[in-house]
Amino acid sequence: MILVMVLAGPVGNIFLGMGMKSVSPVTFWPPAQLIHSGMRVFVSLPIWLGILSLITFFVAYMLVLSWADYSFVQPVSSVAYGVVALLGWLVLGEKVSALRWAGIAVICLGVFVVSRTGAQTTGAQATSRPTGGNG
Amino acid sequence: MLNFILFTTIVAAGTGGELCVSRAMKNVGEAKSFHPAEIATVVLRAIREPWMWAGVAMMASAFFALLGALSMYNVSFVVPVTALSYVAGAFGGAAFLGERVTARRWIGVALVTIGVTLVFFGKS
Repeated sequence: MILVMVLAGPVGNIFLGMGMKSVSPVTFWPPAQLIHSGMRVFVSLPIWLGILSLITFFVAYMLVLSWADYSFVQPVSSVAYGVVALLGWLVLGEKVSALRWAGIAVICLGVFVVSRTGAQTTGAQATSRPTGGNG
Repeated sequence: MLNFILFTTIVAAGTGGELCVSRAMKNVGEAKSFHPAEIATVVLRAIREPWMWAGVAMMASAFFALLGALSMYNVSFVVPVTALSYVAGAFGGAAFLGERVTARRWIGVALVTIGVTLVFFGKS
């Protein structure tokens, strides 16, 4: 399930990228223009494939979250940033500069450090009453 | 300005949506097996959770903002920038949920920020 999650997400994003590139930059004003772009997105096959992949990702993600902690799922899903860049480079022929690779590596490192603190925060949360959510 | 709105929507609505979905799934309970019937039961229970709907609405907004951003930029640029959601998560947790964010977590958040900055400057 975790593997499905890590693969389906990036594949979905790649399809979306592919679809949106063929649509050309969206203009948000005037609204008629936006609706026109919207229609072109709606009939695009890669977009629907992307949405399908992201739904797969979402179901896998929900199933994983039902038994695993958010703080465990976070670092695992950070692998997806690397996968997206890799697929963007291989499939879409995007130029990924060394600086961008370095940035992605630092992001993954950061997510890893963030997740290492997860156990402490959930421990602290368990003793206090859950707050928020009535706004 | 438009970029700013798009990326802010992706990050803020995306993080908010994930938190809502996470909360909903904790209410639903554990999926004990990956048997189709079991999965169907969990999904059916999940769609009766108000938190699930709030989360899905926010994630949908984030999704359309993502489509807008993808029409202008490369996938390998847009997706790493969405990692700013960890930063939003830390600040949001501290500000709205009264969570104590440890020094170590701030270090992680700083690393993510540095990474996103590098990705920004690596934009060719």
